[in-house]
Amino acid sequence: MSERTEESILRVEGLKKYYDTSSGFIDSLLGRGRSVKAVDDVDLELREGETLGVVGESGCGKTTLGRSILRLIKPTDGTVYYRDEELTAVSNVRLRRLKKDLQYIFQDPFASLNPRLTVGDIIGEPLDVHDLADGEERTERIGELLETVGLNASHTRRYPHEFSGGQRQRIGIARALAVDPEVIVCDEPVSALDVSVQAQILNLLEDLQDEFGLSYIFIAHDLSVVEHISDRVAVMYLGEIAEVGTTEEVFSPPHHPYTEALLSAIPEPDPLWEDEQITLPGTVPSPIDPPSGCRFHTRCPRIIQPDDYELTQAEWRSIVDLKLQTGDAESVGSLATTEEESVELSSLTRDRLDELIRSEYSLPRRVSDEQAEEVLSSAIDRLHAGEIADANERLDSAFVSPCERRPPDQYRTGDAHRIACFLYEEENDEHDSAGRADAVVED
Amino acid sequence: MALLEVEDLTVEFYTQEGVVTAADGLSYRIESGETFGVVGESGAGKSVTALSLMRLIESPGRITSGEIRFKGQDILGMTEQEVRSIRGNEIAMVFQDAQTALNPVYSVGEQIAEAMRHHLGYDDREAKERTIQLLDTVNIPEAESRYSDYPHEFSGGMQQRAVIAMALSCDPDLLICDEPTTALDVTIEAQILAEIEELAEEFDTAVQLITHDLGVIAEVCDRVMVMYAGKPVEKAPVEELYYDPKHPYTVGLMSSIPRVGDDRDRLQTIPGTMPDLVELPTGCSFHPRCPFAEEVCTRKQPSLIDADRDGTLDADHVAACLEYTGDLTEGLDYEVVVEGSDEERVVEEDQNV
Ligand SMILES: Nc1ncnc2c1ncn2[C@@H]1O[C@H](COP(=O)(O)OP(=O)(O)OP(=O)(O)O)[C@@H](O)[C@H]1O
Ligand code: SF4
Ligand SMILES: [Mg+2]
Repeated sequence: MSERTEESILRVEGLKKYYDTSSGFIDSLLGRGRSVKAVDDVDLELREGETLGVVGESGCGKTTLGRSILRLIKPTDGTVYYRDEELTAVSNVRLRRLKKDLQYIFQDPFASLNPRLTVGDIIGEPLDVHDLADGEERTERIGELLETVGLNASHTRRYPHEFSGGQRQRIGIARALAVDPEVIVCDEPVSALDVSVQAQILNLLEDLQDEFGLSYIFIAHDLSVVEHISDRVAVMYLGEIAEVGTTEEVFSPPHHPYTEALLSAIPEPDPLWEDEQITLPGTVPSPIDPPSGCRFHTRCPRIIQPDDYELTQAEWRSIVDLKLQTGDAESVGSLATTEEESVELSSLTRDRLDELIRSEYSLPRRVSDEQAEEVLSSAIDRLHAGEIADANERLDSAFVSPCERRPPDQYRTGDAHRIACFLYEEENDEHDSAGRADAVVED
Repeated sequence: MALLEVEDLTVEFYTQEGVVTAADGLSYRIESGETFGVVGESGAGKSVTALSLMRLIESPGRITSGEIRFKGQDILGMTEQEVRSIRGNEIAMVFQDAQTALNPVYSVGEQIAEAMRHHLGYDDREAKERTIQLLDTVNIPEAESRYSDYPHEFSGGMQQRAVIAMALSCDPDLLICDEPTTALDVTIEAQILAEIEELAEEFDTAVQLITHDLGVIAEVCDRVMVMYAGKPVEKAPVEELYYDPKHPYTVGLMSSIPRVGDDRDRLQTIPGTMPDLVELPTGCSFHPRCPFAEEVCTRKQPSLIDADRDGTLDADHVAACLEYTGDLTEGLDYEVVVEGSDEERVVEEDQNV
């Protein structure tokens, strides 16, 4: 176990949260019972007074991570330290006390406030739970909190439905502030808000941080928001941390291929913007059965080719796509579609099928590597014979990326910049010859 | 003649609190093949415009005045049957929530095929073939085997694609997309927007794209209308709107979005929130939030006028601000900064500290 640095206030090691789906509705949906690896072996650190942004696509495990860190849900494995104490091991009584310091602001300002309580009682609740104030003092404190978040102290008797989305989010923030916390996990606090209101809330969160010395974990799927508010950023993909570092290190310029793709996908509010967009194929694979090796390899535009070939990157990506799809496909028809008639693929000539498949996967008539071309065309022969499994086997044994074989470690390219991608394996050796990828902090 | 002409459209909802004017004297036109954006925050009345075009405003709402002409035909004067033959056929619609557009008890393929059998009179085989082609066009992988999947077996992005395929199935002249990507991740959003653009080009379909996201508008639209509290406040070709915004609300919107690579510590904000549509402020509806508001703004309601003041009658850049009728004494004071070689654009309001 590594030493904690002076400034780290929360430290997460090997955190896992698997949801058992053996008897849930997801189970009946998929007709099987296996575990969803929502958070899978995450190491992170939150430093005193900083904002750590967590970004990633929907379902990648951001909310689960935030909640398991605060022990709002019980992690499957791993440890979380708050200052010197192991949150994952303390007694329930102690945990209740510690929870005062650790607050959570919810994703949905509409669902997270009890509609039957007045705003005064919503904000007063944590005061009561932790015995922090009563009577006159309680009323005063509530009024003070409302004013801190930009609402009117006279609003205490109103109900949540009388407020707009932005105002409700302010109420949620006031409630979190009530107990004078150290850390707040903000789960998509502005995602449901209009842009003009979003800006108000982001500014408010920053002001409060300065005023009360708060540390934030700020979860969002919107990269521009995270980039704006964070000191450091962790990018998540399928339950894992793909990259973590200072906002500068992570975004300018981007390093991990996934971060790069996410960044380029943001629609720029500028009609003359002409950056080449990287389009990721498909959607995030299921966390029940994540891809082998680097979990991003099924979509990664920069997936590494084995030394045996000298294909262009685009050819290599397409060949891997073809390989992956022959593994899943039920019929040759699902690999290529004709304009004229989609059904009668079996009656096509070998050459016509070859043409269709290459056009479907944007492959040239002959790929630039002789040896690769040989395998490819023999696989197409097998497809023409209707032998998908055989074709898949050929592709599978000839085309294996190092990215599929084993998961990348978190390579260190700077002081605190860690990238889980084989493209940075060598830089890692230069920076950190000890190569302890799971070390959280260095002194 | 434009493909679609909306003139002076007013839509009211009769609620317990009072009359909500969700669209107030709205006029715009869409030429065939162009992509027209409608942008604004929630409650601005964006969706109401879309529903009106399809005559889908339901009680307690009512179109109280105005005209909607599609290819010169008066939509509001049509019989219900005539409207139905246009709906889903010549004008198709894609909503934010793909799930509600798909029927959970029929397979995705069947639903699209059914639309074609109904509107185009295809037989079963033709309809199925064409459906598979369309699913493939919108990049559903393995379209053929996915044909018989049920909506719940599709991811959110795939459902939205299927809805787009369904909307395109009858080769409409106008496609209305209401927040088509709002519920989706940026990576999927990028795919879907690229598809809408490509398809619009390929089939020469005009698109009315409704969104709150200025990034989305910049990426796909030719012309834009900005709405605030039920009224259009600015209309312009897309480049002019971003590089030379004329209405203080547009300026405020632009300066409040965080952008990657811009290192402002604080975002500029528009103080306050959208007013209650039951009780609109007097004069210019935006005046309580406008950093440039003067006394006259509380009294006089601005109308959309030529903001370049070049006197052309059919100006293509118009804004509803008293600045352009010469009523303001101090004038507007903001600057559009185009930074650096990568053309980064940041709008700054000098008065709004
Ligand atoms: N209670 C649960 N039981 C089973 N699976 C769950 C449960 N909660 C979440 N999951 C699954 O865990 C994964 C991660 O979910 P999580 O809500 O943490 O993602 P997220 O990144 O917060 O997504 P979003 O951006 O949509 O909020 C998903 O695949 C989700 O379906
Ligand atoms: S390890 Fe390979 S697949 Fe994973 S991100 Fe890096 S290049 Fe892409
Ligand atoms: Mg979440």
